[in-house]
Amino acid sequence: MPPESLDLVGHVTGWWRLTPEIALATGSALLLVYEAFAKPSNGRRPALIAAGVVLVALVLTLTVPLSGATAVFREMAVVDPFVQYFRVLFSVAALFGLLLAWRSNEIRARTAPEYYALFLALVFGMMLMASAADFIMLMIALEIVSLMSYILAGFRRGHAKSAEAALKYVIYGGAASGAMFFGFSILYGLTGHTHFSLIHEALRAAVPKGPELVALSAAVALIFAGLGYKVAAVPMHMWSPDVYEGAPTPFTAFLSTGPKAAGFAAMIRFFYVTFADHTEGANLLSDITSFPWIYLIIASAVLTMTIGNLAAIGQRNIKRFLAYSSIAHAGYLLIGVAAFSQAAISAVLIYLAFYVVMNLGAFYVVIWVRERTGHELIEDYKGLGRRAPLVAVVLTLCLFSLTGLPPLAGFIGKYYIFAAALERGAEMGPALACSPELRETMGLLSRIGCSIASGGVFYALAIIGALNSAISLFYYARVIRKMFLENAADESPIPVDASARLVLIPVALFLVVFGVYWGPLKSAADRASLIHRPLVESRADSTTAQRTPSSAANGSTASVSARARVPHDEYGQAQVAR
Amino acid sequence: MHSYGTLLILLIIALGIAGLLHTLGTVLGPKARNPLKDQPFECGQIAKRPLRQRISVKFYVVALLFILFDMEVVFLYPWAVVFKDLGWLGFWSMITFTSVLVLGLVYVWKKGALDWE
Repeated sequence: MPPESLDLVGHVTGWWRLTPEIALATGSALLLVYEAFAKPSNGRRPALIAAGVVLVALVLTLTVPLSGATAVFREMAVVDPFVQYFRVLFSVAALFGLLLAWRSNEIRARTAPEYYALFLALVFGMMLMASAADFIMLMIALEIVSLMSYILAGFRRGHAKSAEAALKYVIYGGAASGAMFFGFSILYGLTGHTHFSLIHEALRAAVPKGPELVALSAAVALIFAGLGYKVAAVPMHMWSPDVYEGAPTPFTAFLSTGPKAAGFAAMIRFFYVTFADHTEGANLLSDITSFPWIYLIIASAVLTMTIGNLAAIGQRNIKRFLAYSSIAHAGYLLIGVAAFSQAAISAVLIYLAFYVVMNLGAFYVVIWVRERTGHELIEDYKGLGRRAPLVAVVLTLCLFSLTGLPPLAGFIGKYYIFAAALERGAEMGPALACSPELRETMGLLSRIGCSIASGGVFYALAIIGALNSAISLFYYARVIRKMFLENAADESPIPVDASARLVLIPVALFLVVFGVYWGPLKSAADRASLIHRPLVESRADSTTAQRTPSSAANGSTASVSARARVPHDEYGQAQVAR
Repeated sequence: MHSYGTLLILLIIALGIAGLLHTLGTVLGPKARNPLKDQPFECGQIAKRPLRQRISVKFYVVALLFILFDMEVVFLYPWAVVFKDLGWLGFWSMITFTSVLVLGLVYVWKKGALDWE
């Protein structure tokens, strides 16, 4: 037993709650070494092993009992229903992503083991991102995801486009990470904490005013820049079309869904835990600071939707086309983040689940067509409706669902997002943005802001979202028109193999069934939307539910949190002077 | 503006002095330019060939691996200092950490990244 003074155990308490993550990391390392020693395969065996590892992670997610929500590793990571939701989402997306890689001829047999090992590490990082409750952990998780993405984007060796993709991604990623860590450091300087909920309490205890408010604005803007880069929000989206075009298609497909969802998970946890006022059972959350960070997200959401959609109209390459469409979808999701309510988190979670399936479904068709015809221009989809009716119909369903047409799943996702925005608009007075402190510090600018800062801005947001959906119908329908109404030079039918059918039909069924009956997913998302706030929760558990830090020493569950808050000396010994 | 205001003043003064000296040197200093003087300074010798040499890509792999295992040692030292206090948990934590790195070494070895030729 280690002496009490070192308290190593506190660092590893609850490690078994991260068994899915551990399974993925171990699986990734062992897959790499095993494949180095085993006989060279045709690339199928590592894919199967990777799928097995993801399945193990999924099973562990569903079987290891959760017992509410817990913080692990000195509360640097949290395991709660929110994380569980994302674990399942990521596992499903990863299985789909493996299926795409299996299908594609872009992953060479010789380098396949590395692809799948890195892929598993990427999924590991995504799960960690969803559960990170501390800057340090978020940094590590984000960098794992980023590094794996850089390598996988450049995985088509000898292709100039792929090398370009990887290089652009590294440069943008490095700058964005740097900006984000700079933001973290400012926030740390302001509050003296790296933990989201401790920052929350520090901000609540001393609401920033004057120069501190300026520093806080800079910090939040920088952090949003880093997270916005991950989800490809305008103006941090520049990398995405080039990366999506150059990367191997199966990875493009996964990049536009998985890491994007992970970015939203981290964004939601950061903004909600740090800034939301925790009132039990309240739907609309209020902000603890006078800093209108929501308007930053609103501005980005409007730009992201509009620029993504307008740029998608002119695209000729289907991968770039889907890249811009996925930028637009990040815009819709940002509406949900800005609406800042429990219903909005739930809406984002539902939207992400549908988005993952419809986008990966569309990419499956892209890979299938590329494999059969060798082309990836929209022009080459002419006559697909007659050459391979099933494939064309499923792509149509995916595209209509991405547009958000009823009765498909995408409509339900958009409905909840817009509903959350309207609900926020109906409830919100001018109070959120127009505190007197802000008026003093920001002067005229904030007065202009305040005049539009009634709930009206959220109505406007919902209307802009709806208009953008109309724009997106135009360009999605153009692809559909090419497939069904235009004639190709070569009208010979393309046979659809059984394995493609095995993927396409479930995707179509998913989109149709969940467009009509989405109750179970809605209730899962509602459960997941109650984000766990470690230190605040543990204090509520203790018998004296007072709102002072010193009361946390009561009760066994709170003792860990109390220890985390007490400063430590160089040997990790708690300074018990206080 | 709190204590950071002083830093700002310091920054302005520092930039001001540097800028002033540079400007003075440019304005007042004698100017006698010739092609020889404008060449990159290389220890007095006139450069006879391109100064940037191409290095075999193998060096990068080795350098990368070296840094990797060097970092491992960086972690091992503080661990070794408090080894006794850490107990078995510390022991097994480090075993896990090093075995991950050993797995990497095995992989690198098998892949032939350590062979020079």
